[in-house]
Amino acid sequence: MLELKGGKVKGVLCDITGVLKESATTADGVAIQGSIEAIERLRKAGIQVKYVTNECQCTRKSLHQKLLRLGFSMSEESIMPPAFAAREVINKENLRPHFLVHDNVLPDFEGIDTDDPNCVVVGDAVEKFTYDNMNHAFRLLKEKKCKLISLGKGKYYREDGQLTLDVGPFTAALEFASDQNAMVCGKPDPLFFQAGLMSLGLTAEEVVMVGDDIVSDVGGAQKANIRGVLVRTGKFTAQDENHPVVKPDLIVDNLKQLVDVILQQ
Amino acid sequence: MVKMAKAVLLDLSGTVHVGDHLIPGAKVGIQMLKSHGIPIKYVTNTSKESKSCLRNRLCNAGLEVHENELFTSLTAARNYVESLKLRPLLMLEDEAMKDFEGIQTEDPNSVVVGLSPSNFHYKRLNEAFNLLKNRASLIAINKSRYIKTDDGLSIGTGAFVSTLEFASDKKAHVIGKPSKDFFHLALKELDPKLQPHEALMVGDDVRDDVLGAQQAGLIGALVKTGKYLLGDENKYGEPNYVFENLEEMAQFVLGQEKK
Repeated sequence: MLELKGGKVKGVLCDITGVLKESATTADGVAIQGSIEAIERLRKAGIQVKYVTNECQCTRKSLHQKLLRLGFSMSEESIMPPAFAAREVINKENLRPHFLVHDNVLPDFEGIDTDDPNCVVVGDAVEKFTYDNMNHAFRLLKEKKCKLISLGKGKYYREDGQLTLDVGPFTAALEFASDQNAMVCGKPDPLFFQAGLMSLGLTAEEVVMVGDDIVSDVGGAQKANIRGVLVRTGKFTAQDENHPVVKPDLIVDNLKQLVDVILQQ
Repeated sequence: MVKMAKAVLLDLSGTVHVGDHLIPGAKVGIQMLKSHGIPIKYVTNTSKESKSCLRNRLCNAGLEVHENELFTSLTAARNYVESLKLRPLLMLEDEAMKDFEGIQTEDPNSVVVGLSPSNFHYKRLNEAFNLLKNRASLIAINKSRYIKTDDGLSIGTGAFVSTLEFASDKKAHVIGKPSKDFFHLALKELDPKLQPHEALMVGDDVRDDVLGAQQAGLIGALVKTGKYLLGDENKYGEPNYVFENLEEMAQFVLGQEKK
């Protein structure tokens, strides 16, 4: 009998890729079985959901539309991608970024001054991760002393059934070469989770985070004092059941099973 | 009190040459040592070209070098792979592949990473990552952060090794400097009777060349050429000596004997 310890859950911070849908290179991906109904059941029970995602290969609007096409229903504003968190930092600290990100996310950064950059923003650039582009970013960091911002720092995700490199390994490369630590906008940074709590208007004790990434989703949430639940969909692999550092508050087969547990409280 | 240096290990890129050009003072310094019978060995992390390519490049630049004066991390890596009977996915440029001729590469169970810009792109790194996630071991020919090239500083092999280490949660076995084994193997090849404290290692990379050598028991000297940046001598440990170039280094080594 699965049980979630701690206070009654009034709000959920929900990862997208690996929890709501599986990622694919073509089209919108595939909705994970039971996830559409699970979100609906939470809505009917009056439990608020915010989608804390590290997705940065497209704009928030585009991601929202993909989810609608798959059959999900949520507002665009309930989605919290790292690009928005990065925008806030860029504005607050008067930064002028050089972007090493996927072309499709650039519209979410429109209007930002990019002349004479004093910072490098790295995201899930995929095919744009070439030696020359990495070298250009490195030179800005080392020679122009630019600040480094990373949109999330995930190691990998599952796409078309295969594990594929996320932004984190490339951020690690730039950190190593330039001897500096990146500021992470997105999971697993605790500030990102706290922004989620503020957006829900709830305390850490009233919320649970659900994701497929044991380090970024579960570990990150726990560091922000939020209960972290791991799903066995998405990038999950058997090794994650016995992670040396992170011990999830609960491990469930999928989002549907977590919602069963929440609604039983 | 530092013991007297009886032999000299020299880094190559950034210390003796940058690209196809010898660094001022390098040829003179090396000739001074040789004419006084001081044994030298070039210990290089270079992984972009084979020993014969490297030798040709130096000769074309005006420095006579015998292949047996070169101790490269590429050959040390090949020896390592062979000794463990590994089947590597080789992330190497074409010019470096020669040093791996005869090694089985079908159905790889290891990933060998050298300086290979043509391999450091998403698709290929993803291929390497998937092998590592499936039990393959990770071998780094070197873990240099950056090197000096003709058009400035360029991101090094170490950055892409970090990519794979971070993604796979595996630590690379590093063959070249600053690995202790690498320095000891180089000394052994030069003269099996040499003790580490009798050898002076000279290089432009304060961490990989100087600190690495000191940790292996050698005397470490930083030279202010190549990738050297102002203040490097104060940032990471304490080099035993700091020289403007190899000519100054040779004057010091030869001057020791007179004291």
